[in-house]
Amino acid sequence: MPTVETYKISPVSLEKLFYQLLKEDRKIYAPVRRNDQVVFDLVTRYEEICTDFIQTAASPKNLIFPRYENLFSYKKGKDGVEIQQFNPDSIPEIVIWGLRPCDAAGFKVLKSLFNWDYKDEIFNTRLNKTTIIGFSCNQCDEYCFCTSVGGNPGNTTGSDLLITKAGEAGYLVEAVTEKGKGVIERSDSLFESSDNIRKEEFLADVPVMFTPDLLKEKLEKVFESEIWQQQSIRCLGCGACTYICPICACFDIQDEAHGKKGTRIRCWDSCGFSLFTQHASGHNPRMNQAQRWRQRVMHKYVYMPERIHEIGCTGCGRCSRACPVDMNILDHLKSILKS
Amino acid sequence: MKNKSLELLTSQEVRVVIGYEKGTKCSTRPSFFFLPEDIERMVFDEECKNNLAVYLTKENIKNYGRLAIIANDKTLQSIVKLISENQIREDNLFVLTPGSEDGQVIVLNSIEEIKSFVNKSIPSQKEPDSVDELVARIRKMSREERWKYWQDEFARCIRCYACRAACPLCYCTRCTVESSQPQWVPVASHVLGNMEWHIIRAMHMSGRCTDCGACAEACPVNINLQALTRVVRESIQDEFNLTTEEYLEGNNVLSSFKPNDNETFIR
Repeated sequence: MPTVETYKISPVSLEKLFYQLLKEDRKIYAPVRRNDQVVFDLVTRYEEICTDFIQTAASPKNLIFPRYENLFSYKKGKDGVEIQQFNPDSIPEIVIWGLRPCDAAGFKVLKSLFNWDYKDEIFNTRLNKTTIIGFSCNQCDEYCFCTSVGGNPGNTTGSDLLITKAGEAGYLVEAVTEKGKGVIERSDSLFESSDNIRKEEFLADVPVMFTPDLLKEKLEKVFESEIWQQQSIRCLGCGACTYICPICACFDIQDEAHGKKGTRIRCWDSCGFSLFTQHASGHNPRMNQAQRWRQRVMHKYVYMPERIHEIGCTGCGRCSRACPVDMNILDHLKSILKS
Repeated sequence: MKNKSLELLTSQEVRVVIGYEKGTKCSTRPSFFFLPEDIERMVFDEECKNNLAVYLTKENIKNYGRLAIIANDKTLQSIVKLISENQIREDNLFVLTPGSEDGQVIVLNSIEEIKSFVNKSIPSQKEPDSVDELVARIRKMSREERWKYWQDEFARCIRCYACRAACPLCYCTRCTVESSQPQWVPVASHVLGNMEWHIIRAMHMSGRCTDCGACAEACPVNINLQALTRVVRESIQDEFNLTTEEYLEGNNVLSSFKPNDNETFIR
């Protein structure tokens, strides 16, 4: 783990840093207001960036794990099948600016997931070509629970640079990775020494509700419990929670064929759908929503810690905010712990 | 509402009451009440916006047999439509809905009662809202502009199918997008796949959608689907010259056939 270097940057210099990165021919994605929501989108003007929000509607995972992407294309000819592989050079250098520490931490989990056994070249190329500039949280709401799943509002995990607003005068900058240090080296005149800024004073206060170990221990005992049925009875079985989650990464492989040519596409999929586990025979091992809901919870807090040593949740609270029937995950986890 | 629900559960006339409880922040959420002591959690106020009729066609809920449902206006209209499509058995259902007087609860437990209550209670003229404004704006667009507008909207669609899941009339146990042989609609959420999905859904909803807005409410990326559903309902009512009563109770206009149809192409 390289040591974290700390600096200070003034609001004016922060804006200059933004334009410096643009000049380096990088696409910058940042939170902006669109259609009454705050979402990640391509930004070319600093003033478009939205900073006054708790969390964006959807996570930025689609920038590195797009909702659909071509894995390769093929063409059948007289001499057999010609395959056009994915070209790593087609992936642009991007910057994700202004994401929350829970989203940055999500990318670390995704990295473990996409390198669990098979090393996913497309995912890794995208992540390597991305510079992640996180911004610490100075506010939170009742859906947030990062501190119960191993994170915190000033967590540096997953960010190349983490920026914390330290009053009106400036920002604390932490260069976490070599990539982050590179950003600072290329624009070093913008940065000052950090003057021992006490970061903790500027962070949101997110109460700790439980520990991941306690939750895992409890979940291992309640697999057969009635609680899954009780909690999931109002679940409508859509995929909104999984699609906006910074970590959910289940996908479906589809071939889109047009005559003799076609494309193999990786598309997002969701354990909330009944079709997700349905066999060709018609048999469905997860035959009801209770079993699907249990799978989602177990996968995040039991199976992923066992398999890839990461918790499959960063406590961003998006699934609860987006759910049309208010399936509040924090409420549900708390009631499982109480059961 | 609480008293009546308690009465129905205590007398064991119903196995479950589908209603609302307090949700996160100031909102309310759907909730299921099985025991008399559960009723304590129940709330019913202006904030109870979910269309609970969506639960009536779910297999696990139907298995409970006799049930009661707390119905706001949107839920009532969906229930009438579900009855007209033979999805609800009247002898299994108690509908509890607020009356015009403060605190008054009307209990409806036959199809005729539900229909006549809905016909009386739906105002013939409603106040224009923001959806009407958007619809007016879309109607002023040229064909090309309108196509572009919806392409841009649906480009955002992530195909989570929350619109389908929240819709009381989307009760098919197997949706056409889930067919893989043949694959009618691309699974990928590219613009083509998204346009096909939403057009198919709008067509399938024509003459059936009650414009409750649950799809738009559920959409996590804020696509204004109600602008589509409203036009679908209004167009069908206008084109087929249907009163609200005829619209809700009649057959699905796009999938029913009459030998004396005015059009000649159909014969």
